[in-house]
Amino acid sequence: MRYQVVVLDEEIGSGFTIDEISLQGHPAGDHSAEFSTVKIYMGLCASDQLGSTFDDNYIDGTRMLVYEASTATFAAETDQWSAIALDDQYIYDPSQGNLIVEITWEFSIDHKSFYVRSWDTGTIRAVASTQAGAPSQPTGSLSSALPRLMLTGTAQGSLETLTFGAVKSAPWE
Amino acid sequence: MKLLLLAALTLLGTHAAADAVIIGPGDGPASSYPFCGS
Repeated sequence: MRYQVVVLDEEIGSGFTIDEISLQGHPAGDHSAEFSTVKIYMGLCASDQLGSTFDDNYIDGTRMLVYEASTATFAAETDQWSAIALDDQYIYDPSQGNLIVEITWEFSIDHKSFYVRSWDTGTIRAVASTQAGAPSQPTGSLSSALPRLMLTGTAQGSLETLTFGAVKSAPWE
Repeated sequence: MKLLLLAALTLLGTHAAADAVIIGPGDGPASSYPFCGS
């Protein structure tokens, strides 16, 4: 599997230091699935839509490996979140572009599928390749469906507002 | 003053661990991507 999505800067809303990403379980399919050689990359995209060539969707030099595991199990009951804690934080700056999240794995260990909630964005926001050797496949099929994602970490905008607001409101003694 | 500083740092620490943004509505259809192994 080589799977790439783009999240728009206005959907994130501010600078964001990402520690964890989560996908939301759906009633369909299995509620757990295990895969080998799982990797997650993040980077920047200059466009609001993706093309079929994975590497061309990145702004040059921005693709970063943020998670790697020899095996990983993704599991969640219906509407619960399956969280993936990144090995390395990703510092997203919305002024530099949209956010690409790319997930790759080599093969399914238990031959199960973990279904997640998705939505139709109305534009081409995802690319997928399921062919043999998929993590190194250069191109994939286009889709407007995006998994529902949760990014967890530190939002720069709200953090600054709260921090400076708290300092300003404190009487100096 | 120390109490105020402690309160601000506590609030900051709590807030920093809680930030989350959800992308997309919550009642969408099923997708087997990116974890379709069967």
